[in-house]
Amino acid sequence: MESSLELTTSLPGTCLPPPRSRIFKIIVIGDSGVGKTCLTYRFCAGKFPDKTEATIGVDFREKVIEIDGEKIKVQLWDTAGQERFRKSMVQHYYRNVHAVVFVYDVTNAASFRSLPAWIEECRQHSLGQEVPRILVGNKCDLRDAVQVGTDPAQKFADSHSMPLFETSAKNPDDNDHVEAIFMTVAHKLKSQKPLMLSQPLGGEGFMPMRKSEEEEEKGVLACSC
Amino acid sequence: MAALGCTGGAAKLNSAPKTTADKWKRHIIRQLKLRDRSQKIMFQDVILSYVKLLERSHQRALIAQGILGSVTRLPLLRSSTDSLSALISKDEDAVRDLRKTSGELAYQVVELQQAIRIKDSVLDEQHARVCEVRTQLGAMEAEFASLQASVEAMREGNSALKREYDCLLQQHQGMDETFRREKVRGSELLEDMVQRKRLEAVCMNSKNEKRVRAREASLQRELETAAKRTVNIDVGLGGGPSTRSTSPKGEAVEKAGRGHGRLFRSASATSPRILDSIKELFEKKRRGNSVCSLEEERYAPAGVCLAARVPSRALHTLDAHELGINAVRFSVSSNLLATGGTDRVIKLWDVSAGMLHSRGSLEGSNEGITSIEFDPTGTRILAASYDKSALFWRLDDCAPKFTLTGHSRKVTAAKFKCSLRQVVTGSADRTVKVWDLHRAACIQTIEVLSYCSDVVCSEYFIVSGHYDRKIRFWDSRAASCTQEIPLQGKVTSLDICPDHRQLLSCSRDDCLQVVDLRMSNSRRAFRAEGFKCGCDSTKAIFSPDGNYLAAGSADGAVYVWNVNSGNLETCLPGMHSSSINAVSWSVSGEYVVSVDKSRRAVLWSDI
Repeated sequence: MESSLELTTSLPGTCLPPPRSRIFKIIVIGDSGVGKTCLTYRFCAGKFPDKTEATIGVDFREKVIEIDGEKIKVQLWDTAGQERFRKSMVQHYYRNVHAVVFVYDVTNAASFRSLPAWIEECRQHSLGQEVPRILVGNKCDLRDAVQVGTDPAQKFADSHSMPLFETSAKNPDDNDHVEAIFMTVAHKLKSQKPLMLSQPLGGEGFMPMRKSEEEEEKGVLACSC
Repeated sequence: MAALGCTGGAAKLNSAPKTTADKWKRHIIRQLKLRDRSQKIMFQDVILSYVKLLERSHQRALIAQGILGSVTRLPLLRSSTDSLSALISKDEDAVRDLRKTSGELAYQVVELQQAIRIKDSVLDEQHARVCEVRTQLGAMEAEFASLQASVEAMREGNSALKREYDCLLQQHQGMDETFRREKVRGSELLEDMVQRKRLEAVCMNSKNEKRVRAREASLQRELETAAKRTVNIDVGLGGGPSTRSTSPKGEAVEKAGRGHGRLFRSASATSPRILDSIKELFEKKRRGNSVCSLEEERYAPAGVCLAARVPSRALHTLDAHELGINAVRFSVSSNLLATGGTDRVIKLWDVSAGMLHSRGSLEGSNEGITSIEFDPTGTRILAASYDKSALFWRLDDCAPKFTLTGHSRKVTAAKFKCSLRQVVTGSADRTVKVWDLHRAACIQTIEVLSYCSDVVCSEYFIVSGHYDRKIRFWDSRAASCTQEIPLQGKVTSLDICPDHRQLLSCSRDDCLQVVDLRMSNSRRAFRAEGFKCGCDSTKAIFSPDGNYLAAGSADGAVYVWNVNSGNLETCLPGMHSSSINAVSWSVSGEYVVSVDKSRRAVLWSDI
């Protein structure tokens, strides 16, 4: 919460980034209490937060990473897991999103069981298949309390063609594991998307224009390939 | 007595032995009896008196006995000493008796005194007990008083406790209320927080989009400069490309696009190619000029007309509708024309090669159309209708996207506000309403108290024209009338100059007035001989460069004035046979279209 506030307040200062740097908007979704905030905090701040409260609405966390010499800003949307804190803003989560990270808690079978609902929400917001999704099982440091084994999780991930990562934001086996997960996503995004918006602007009257732009974009791609 | 008896007995005994022999005896007895009788007679009185005395003394003794302690004086009896001694002994006996009696009495007295002493002591004892009891009583009373005091104290304590309890209860109630209030506040804060977060998310999204667009724009600019090197595209043409010159350019662009990764493609298969070319050209121009294409920029009018050309002849005449035509309007971004009539449809026309080509129609209104407006992007149409509603179409869809209902009489005008999210309508029900297009809901109603014939919007104010011969200015935020301009007749239409500096009004006194919006007291009137305002909704307009005014007259002629000189520039009679309802000037400045009550539309140009 605090960190996000800091980030939010510091955003106006950084609102004019070097024009060439790209932004990847990645949303992190999952049941409440699975550790979305901790995961994103671990990636952006490099440590486990001392104390977190329920996220209200959304918190933004950003980190600039460098891939192949290009500076890329990863913008993580740490969304609220509780329905009452997110109800009015779900549509904003999915607008122009570049990647989706589904999180469940390996010590909480219910959070795993509700994954189809989250995937359904994604589908309802007409996310294209080209938007990369990954599945993250969090809290795997709590070995004694594991309720969701790797096998069913892997099966589920395979059935939805997502890569599965099991990690712990608190105590990853390897300190960079969480970072590595997000870096994987960023690499995938970079190789997949040169620069365009992933979906048409749901804009008042600009629909046709945007569509045409996307077509143009595809044209560019086709030619450059 | 006894003594007396003895004496008598002795005498008898003396005679008795003499009578032992019968005769003698009897003789002696008789002798004795005689002697007795003679002697007895002598003493009879004494004996009788003795007996009497005896009786009396006995009585006296009794009396003496009765009188305690009194010395009994023995009655002196003269009769005999015996009786006296007997009396004395008797008295002595009596005295002895009396003594005994007195002794007994004395004893009794002593006894009684003793009893009295005993009683006294008992009395004393009882006195002592009474005293004791009395002291006990005192102690009891004291105790009672102290107990009473303690009772009082207890009672006081109780009431104090009760007060404290009441106080606490009240405090508790207060706390409870505070708690409830805080709870409500908490939920409000949460709501607020979520709302803020939502806005933040929106903001973040738009920032991201802006950045992406900025990147697109810069990339496009680079591509464009690259394109410029090979093909000479004149994008700086300000006056809006003419139809004839546009198509080759569009093709050139197409070619350039193909050559460099096909930058531009047709927007949609259904829209005409030429229009697309124009659109693309404008798109390109705008992108080229802006480093970061803000959303607001998209809303700015695309075409800027440098010099409008005064029409001189009719190019094309046709009966455009089945009934009278009330409204006509050119699109802001192209030579697309929309007409709306009493026959309830809006028809779209494409102006090319000096002809009006039908491009389709928009249906949905239940009554005649009273006014039409394009949004500055040229993709949306807003119309006001007799059916008490305003309708909103997107050009890619012939069914109305929204119907704004809420007026109670016909809607005379519907205009976009500068923000484009909002629409302002004026109605015959004497109100002006502001609508939010996102919610399709009325957000503000201004009560005017006079039939509203037309409205126009500027950035900060709304201007409405009324049948009570007044133009009113409204602060669009406060809904308060900031200014009124009186005219000489019913206001039939309003128009605002493209640079938003001048306001044109047409009124039933056959006079057009131009009001300088910066100095509202500066007004200029435009009249012409023969110009007659045909109806209560006759529309007069500015040319796109703001240099000319155009209006149709009741006699079927189009009048054009020069704003700067104030003179009539031209009068174009002869093409209409009835009163002209509305005119519109294309954004390129090239064409004017006039429509009349008898369903005729005429396209005018200078060539």
